[in-house]
Amino acid sequence: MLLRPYTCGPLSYAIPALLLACVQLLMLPLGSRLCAADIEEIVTAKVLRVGVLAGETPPFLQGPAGGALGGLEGEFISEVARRMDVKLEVVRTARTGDELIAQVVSSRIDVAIGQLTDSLEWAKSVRFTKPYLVLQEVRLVDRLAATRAGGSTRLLASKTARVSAVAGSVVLPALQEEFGDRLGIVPTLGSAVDEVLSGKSLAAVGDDVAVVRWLQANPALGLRLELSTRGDRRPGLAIAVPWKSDDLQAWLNLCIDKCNLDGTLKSLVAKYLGDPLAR
Amino acid sequence: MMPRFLGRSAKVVWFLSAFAAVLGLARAQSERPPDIERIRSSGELRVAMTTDLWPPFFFLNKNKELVGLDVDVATEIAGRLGVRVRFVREAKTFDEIVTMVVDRRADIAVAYLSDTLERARLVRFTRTYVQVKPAVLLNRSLVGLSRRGPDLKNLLNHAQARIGVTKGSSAEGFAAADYPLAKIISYENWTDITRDVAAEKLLAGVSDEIDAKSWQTANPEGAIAIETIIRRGPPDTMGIAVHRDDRHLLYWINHFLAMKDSDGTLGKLHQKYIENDLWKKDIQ
Repeated sequence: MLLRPYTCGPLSYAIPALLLACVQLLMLPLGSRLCAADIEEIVTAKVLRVGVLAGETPPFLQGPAGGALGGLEGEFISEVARRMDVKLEVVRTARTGDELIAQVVSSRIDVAIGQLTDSLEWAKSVRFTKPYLVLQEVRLVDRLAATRAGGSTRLLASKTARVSAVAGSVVLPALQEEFGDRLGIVPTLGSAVDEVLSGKSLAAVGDDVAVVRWLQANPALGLRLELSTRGDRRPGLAIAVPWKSDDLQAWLNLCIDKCNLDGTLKSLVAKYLGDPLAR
Repeated sequence: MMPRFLGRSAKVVWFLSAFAAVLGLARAQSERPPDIERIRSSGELRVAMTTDLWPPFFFLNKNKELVGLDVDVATEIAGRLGVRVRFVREAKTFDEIVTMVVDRRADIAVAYLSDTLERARLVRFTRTYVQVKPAVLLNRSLVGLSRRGPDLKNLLNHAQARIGVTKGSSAEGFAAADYPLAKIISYENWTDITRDVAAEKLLAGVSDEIDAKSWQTANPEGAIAIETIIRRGPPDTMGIAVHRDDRHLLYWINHFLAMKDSDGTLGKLHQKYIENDLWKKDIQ
């Protein structure tokens, strides 16, 4: 045959090889999206990329960055990875819940856990599992002011009542709906209580775990403050997954069910939370 | 830019690495649910309804504003999505509402729409946000003449029974399934059915408690000729219809409805519009 090689030298091999490699690289993401479900991608990689908050948030997340995850959420997500038979890759850079959600949206992580509540706002861009822990809204009011008003419920029923809560708290979505711009957002529960004691606010509101821990650390102030709960306000903590990951969401929901049934979550609650409000 | 000092083989590797990095970046790019983004970028939520009004789900008040249970639900969904609500009242029948969602002439349908299995082949339905009991209006004279006793099934399921239903309503399917031997006649509206039941042209009219109560309130003297039966059977459940591809929108609306159920909002709407009829004072 008189067919002549169209080129010579090492490039004659390099160019087709490069084209082939490019095609293969293009096929990789397409193939994984078409053929493998979200959960299969994690199992194949043998790694579950989990996003948690950068700082420690005891009793939910404990342990230094780079070390083993402790705390209720740290141990729980480690157990989830164990049941999935994959390793945990911890991405611990988010400073707020919003940043955690942004990491899920960008697919930088497979799941996020970090006292996230399934708010309608976040649910616009990610999916949430069923709650692995249900908290309770607790209000601390000035005991004297409550007595004068005829109880804490009457005290807070006023249309001018202002309350304070901690930034990022799971109780915020419901409070924002109830109080609107009469809700003051402060950095710590201590500063929320300061606002109550100074008369700037009528109640410091938080979840039962945070409030009971604060009261245990500040027993003297417990005398001045009256604690009341809202039975209808029970925010749940849930795991966030990318909006496309409905298979992973279903698997995690089943995993949460099983962890409830076999007592795993109960023992984690007992270990880290005790019994804040007769949970 | 590719470094100049690299050899040929190294250049190939460099190309491949750069290409892989670009692909990786593309995969890591922010990707929000396209269905919700589409609605947010359009600035409005288009809600399909029928041209006919169906109090208390959607009707005009004395100020000629569209109000009602469905209007409340749809308006809050739009508000939570951060867009305005636009009611697209073009459908002549309930089945046409479904077609509007399928054809993307509306984003969702919140329109007194039963989540029938037939419709669920075309669209996805959210969880039930309201349910109503089935009801039957019977002509007392024809019932007496038939001598078939008090059992409703025995009374209505025979070849001589003529039963009126609203065309394109879920009652059309229920009546055909429950009374296969009867002659099911489709009408354009419920008013014509009640007229023909009263005139002994129909043995019965099949609908739900809303229609039955509306008729009772408007025609108290009609109770002499017509008996109203609110059935104990399975209720007619209403869902919000969403395009079958809008998976995250469906998830989000279900999440919204679950929250509204647990905080008591749906219960209050049921009480306001279904259990009570105070809304009738506001009707145009």
